[in-house]
Parts: sequence; structure tokens; C-alpha cells
Amino acid sequence: MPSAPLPSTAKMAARSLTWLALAGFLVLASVPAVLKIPGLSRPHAWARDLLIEPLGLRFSHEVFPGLPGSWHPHRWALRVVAIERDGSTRVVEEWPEGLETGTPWLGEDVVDTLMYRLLGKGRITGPSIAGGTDREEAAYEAARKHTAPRKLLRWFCTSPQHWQAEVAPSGVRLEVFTTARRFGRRGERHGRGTLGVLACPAGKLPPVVEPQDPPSWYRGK
Amino acid sequence: MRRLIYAVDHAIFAPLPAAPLGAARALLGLSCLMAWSFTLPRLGALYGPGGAAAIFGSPRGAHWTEGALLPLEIGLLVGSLGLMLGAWTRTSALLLAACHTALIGRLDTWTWGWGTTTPLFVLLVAFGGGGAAASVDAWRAGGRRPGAAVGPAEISGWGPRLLWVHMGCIYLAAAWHRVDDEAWLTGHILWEALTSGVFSRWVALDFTSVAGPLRFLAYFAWGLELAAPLLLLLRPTRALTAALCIGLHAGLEISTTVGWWQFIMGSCLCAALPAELWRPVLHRLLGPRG
Repeated sequence: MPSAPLPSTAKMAARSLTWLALAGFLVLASVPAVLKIPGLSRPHAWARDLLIEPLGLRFSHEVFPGLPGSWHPHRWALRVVAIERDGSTRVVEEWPEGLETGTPWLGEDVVDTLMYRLLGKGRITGPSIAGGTDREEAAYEAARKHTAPRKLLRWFCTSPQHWQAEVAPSGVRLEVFTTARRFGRRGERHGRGTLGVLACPAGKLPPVVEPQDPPSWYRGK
Repeated sequence: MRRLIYAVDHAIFAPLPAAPLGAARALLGLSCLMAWSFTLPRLGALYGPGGAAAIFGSPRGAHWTEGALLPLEIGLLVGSLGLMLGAWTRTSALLLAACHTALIGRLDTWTWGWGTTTPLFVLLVAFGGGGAAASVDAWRAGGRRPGAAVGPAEISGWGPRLLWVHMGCIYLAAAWHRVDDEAWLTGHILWEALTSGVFSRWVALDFTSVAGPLRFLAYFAWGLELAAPLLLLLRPTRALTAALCIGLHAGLEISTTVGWWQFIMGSCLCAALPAELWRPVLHRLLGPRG
């Protein structure tokens, strides 16, 4: 079968240039960041030392914009304070040397990890936590003691709408609401604080001082 | 100079097998058809008056679409079906891309990226020769004979090659975007995604015991994305790279919920799989009977 005749040189040049222009447009439109690359060696150090910190930029997943720049440890020291039904508070658990978390910023996964460990160790249980219904407290107990504990316990882990935080000089303060959203269907109760958590880099937990006039995060709302 | 022009022209326009791009077009049309069929019952809640787009959407979006939901949805479904079947492929692709852009432009942040990138994929596949094989267009062009829908053996290579460049750009942009992302740098991203209530399909499972393998997979995926732009363009590595990337997207689809992105990329990657894989399939499905 005879092959198709080759187009003229001018036509080949024109169509090649058209294609290259299209491909160039795709590259320019899709990869603007590539054009700004001054060097690719040690991208981690380059990105952090030369770009992010001097320009005041932050990692895209950073949860608390007010955190000091050095506060991205993999181990977060944590102090958990339970708020009892009568409004009094007590320290439930402390990890002064830090609780290892999946990511170096304090976010949902930290709260997940924290709640999982607290529940798994039995350091917090339903009746000691304000705000839970009887059914939720029973579910806590069942989950803690009985079958498939890991799976069930993770169901009790909080999600972002169930905790809030503020950044203070001594650390990040969180209010964690432990309402069992998947079992209790009590979303309307999420507004009640149940646990106060102070988080800061490992080894920097301040001493426990019972506040005479507890701040709102400590009392719960 | 003449030699150089010839070499460049040959590198771009040398024929390539038609079957892979035809299969990719059919799968891309099917993905779009699935996406917009699933959206159909929620169209009013998403894009109608007082819907999510009106509350959370982009103020630059085309607000006239609120009153034209039914024609737009019909356009999306007809365009998707036309692309899938390869019927009036280019017209179908234009219709699909236009309706898609009009709607998605109002709520692009909710689509995890597939909303804004799909129209270009659709146009590249359709105008790059995707309708030549495995299509109604091929059947019509072949005199409506039995088996004519399989189409020609080869097409001009500029379309598939432009598609690979575009896919390479997507991977390169995704991979470079991650160099200042702590979760990727430390390899914790998969652990984070799988335990995230936003992304994970399996948020109730505990992944602590597989943190090591997840870290390996995270680095592997990142490496693949960084290398794919080059490896997709080189013939010896193209098929294996496409297969690995399809596996990557399949894994993401199984483990996370990020819209239709995996379907779109997976479909287009089929254009880089070997023709020997697609030809028997097309002949069995569309070839002459008896």
C-alpha cells in the first residue's frame, strides 16, 4: 500500500510550531510553580529555609496560624483536664514528654490520637465526662471494654466540628467535645465543653496551677 | 534545517495506534456520564436558587445557570453519552465541556480539582483523534458496515502526545506543590488522609499498625508523580508508567473520597496502555459477527 505523500517543509514547520505552542500553553497554564524553581537540591530545606520562613508563609495544612514557627514537633506534650458535672476540674492525664502523633501539626489527627489513647487506657469514661447522655456513656463503656475496641473507640474520636482551640503563650488550648456522634445522635449537645487540653512542644508543659478564675477554655462553655 | 523540521514533525505527528485513545475516550465519556447522573438528583440543591452554589460558591460564577438547570443537565448527559459512544464526538465534547464549565464554575472548590480540569481532558481526547476508533463516528465513516466501528489501525500521533504532555503537567504540578508540604516530606500524608474525616472512606479503622507501609506508599506515589511527566513521553516506559498510575488512582479511589478525579485520570491514562491490550477487546465488542 503506498504511503501518504509527505507534506511540504513549510506545512510541517507550521503544524509543528502549532503543536509546540499548544503544549507550551499547557505547561505554562498547568505548572506555574515550575517556572519559579531556582534549584531542586534539598527541596525540603530549600522550601522551609529560603521561602517559607523568610516570607512568613505557612504550610498549607497548618491548623493554628498563630503558632510559633518552631512549633511543629512530632511529639506534643499534652495535659488533659476533665470538667466534671459540678463544674470542677481535674487533671486526667499528662504526657509531659510528648504524645507521638501522625503529623507534626496539631490538628484533627492529634485529637483523634489523644482521644483514642485516653479511652483505650480507661482514663476517661462516660460518667466522668459532663455532657454525655446515659446512652452515650453506656456506649463508651461498651466500646472500651468489649468487642472490636479499636474500631469502636475510633468512632468516638472527635472530628473538627467537635473541638476548637486557641493559641496562647503557654500552648494550644483545646476544648474537646466527646459526644458520641455516631451512636448518640446528639449533635445538639456538642456546644458543651467536656475536656480541656493544653498542648505544647514536648518537655515544655507548665506546672499545674489550679486557676482561681478559670478561663473559658478551662471551664467549658 | 530541513532535517530538523522533519525530525520535529516526525516526533510529534508520527502515527500511533488508534485503539488506546478510542478506549480512553469511551471510558472518559462513561466517567462523565456517571458523574453527572449521580449529580442529577441533587442538581437543585447544589446549583439551584438558594442551593449550595448560591451560598458558598464563587461570586464570579455564571448565575444565569440557576434558571437553566434542566437544559444544562440534558446537555451534560447528552454530551457525556455522545463522548462515550463516539457519536459526533467533537460536537458532543464541546457541548459537555461548555455545560460542565458553566455549572462547575459556580462551585469549583467542591470538586477536588476534577471539576476544573475535566473539560480540557474532554477536548484534548475528542479533538486529538479519540473519535476515530471504537465509535459511532468510525462506523459512519466506514460506510456503516458491520465491524466498521472498530475504526482505523492508526491515527496521527499529535493528539495522544498532547494528552500525555497535559497529564505530565498535571502530575508535575501535583508533585511540586508538595515539596513544601510537611505531611508529604515526612511521608505521613497517607496516614493523615486515611484517618481524616474529610477524605477517608475508612475513618473508623485504625491504621497505626500499617504506618510504615503507608509511609513507603506515600513516597512511592510522590516519586511516581515526579517521574511520570518524563516516563509517559518515553515509549519504553510509557505503558508501565500508565499501569502504575492507574493502580495509584485505583488505590486512591478505594481509600478516599475525592470526587471523580480518579476516574478522569484513570480513563485518560488508558490512552498510554499498549494497543495490543485494546485491539482484541474492541474487535470482540465491535468487530464483525460470525
